[in-house]
Amino acid sequence: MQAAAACRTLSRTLVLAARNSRPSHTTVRSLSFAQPLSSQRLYTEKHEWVSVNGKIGTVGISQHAQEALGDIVYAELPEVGAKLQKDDSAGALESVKAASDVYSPVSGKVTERNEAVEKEPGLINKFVYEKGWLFKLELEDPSELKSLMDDAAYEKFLKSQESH
Amino acid sequence: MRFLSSSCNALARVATVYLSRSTCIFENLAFEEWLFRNHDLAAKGEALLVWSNRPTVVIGRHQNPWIEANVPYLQEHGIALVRRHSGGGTVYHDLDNVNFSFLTEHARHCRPRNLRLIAAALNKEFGFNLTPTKRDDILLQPNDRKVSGTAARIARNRAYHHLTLLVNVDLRTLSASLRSSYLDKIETNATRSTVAARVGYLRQDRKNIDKDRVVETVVRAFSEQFEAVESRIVENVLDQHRFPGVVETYDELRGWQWLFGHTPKFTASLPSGVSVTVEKGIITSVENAAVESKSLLGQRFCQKMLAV
Repeated sequence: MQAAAACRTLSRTLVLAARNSRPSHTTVRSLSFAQPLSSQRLYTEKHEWVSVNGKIGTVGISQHAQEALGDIVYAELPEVGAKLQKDDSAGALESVKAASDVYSPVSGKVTERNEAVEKEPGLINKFVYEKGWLFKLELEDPSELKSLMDDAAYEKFLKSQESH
Repeated sequence: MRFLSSSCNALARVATVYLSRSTCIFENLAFEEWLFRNHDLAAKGEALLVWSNRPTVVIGRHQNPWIEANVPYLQEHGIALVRRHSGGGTVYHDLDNVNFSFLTEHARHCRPRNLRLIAAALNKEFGFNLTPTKRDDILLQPNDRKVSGTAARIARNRAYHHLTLLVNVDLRTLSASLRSSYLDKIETNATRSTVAARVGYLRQDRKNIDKDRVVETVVRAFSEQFEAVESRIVENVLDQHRFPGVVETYDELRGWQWLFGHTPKFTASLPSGVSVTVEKGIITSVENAAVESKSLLGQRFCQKMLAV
């Protein structure tokens, strides 16, 4: 199937699903794959991000972190099934001989690790918000998300760091 | 919280120098890790740890020991093998090598600054021509002889930069220790060492140079950056009272789980034509095997399996 056609079919399916599930007073919002996902990401002060879909959070590092690290040559990821507390060390990324710890933004149980970045760590540098995700976990306590920063707050945080 | 300038040239008031009296690599790395987690950077400033070990091969955090070193040779010659917590490649060193570890807040972590300090101090004192490189090696000129390699670790807003410095070494032992016979038998995306074109040592250019004078020179140059420096000789780095938790780190470094079990996933071709996949040091799948060889499944991988 042609990719573009597949995307259109999928969009239509999702719109129909939204229509069928909504209460009658809401308006239908059509989902577009061109819509940036950045509004869904929440950031930590240690430059990780988490993006939540239902009970599953996807975790990665920010563009700022990727630039600061340089070329990543190895990604050490947590084991599937591992239980992480918020701010626990979840693994490490090696770049230019420095091994830098990665921390979990939220508490939960690891459900998936990104084998693609294990094989090709450079994906983290190139696609830090898409293919370069690190691991997924089932959230234990969604209220922890409240303490994280959205895009705007994170940008502000980065600027405040620069002045030091 | 005091914010220090992120400029590499900013000065700070105080620092601490720790001189370890241990010559055991496991003890010294355990102590370094303890300092990394516990040294009071705010009150005592940056730390410089100086240490030397009996003959040892140290592999980087994400490396495969069976391709970075000659494991049977190490065992036959009583040379220790250890995996460190920092990244980077594999080194061989013994008592005529000095290790320096610079511990700072992450914002003040600056490897080029540390390497320039060491090279400049030794060049001035002994008339060497030492040059740091973009790869954070130190080369002894002429002929680009590598005398120092670097690695680093960053966590919880703190960082350390540690490096080796060869004052003297038996190059044949070094080469033999680092030459694996199994390079073509193992496939992995573990990090690989960059083999130096040439390895050298300070005594090649100054026959009478001794390690103590090298240490003195570097410590003096380091100390000149600060208003006050406290120097501490540590006789027993495994003192649980002074350094609570250090013994647990020592045990972890000595254990199979960290040294071999932390090896990134790889596949190995065994002499019998069998191919195994090894994850966390354990054989998780066996290909091309007769029924008898299937018993390899679940076993810890060891180099005997690669030998004819």
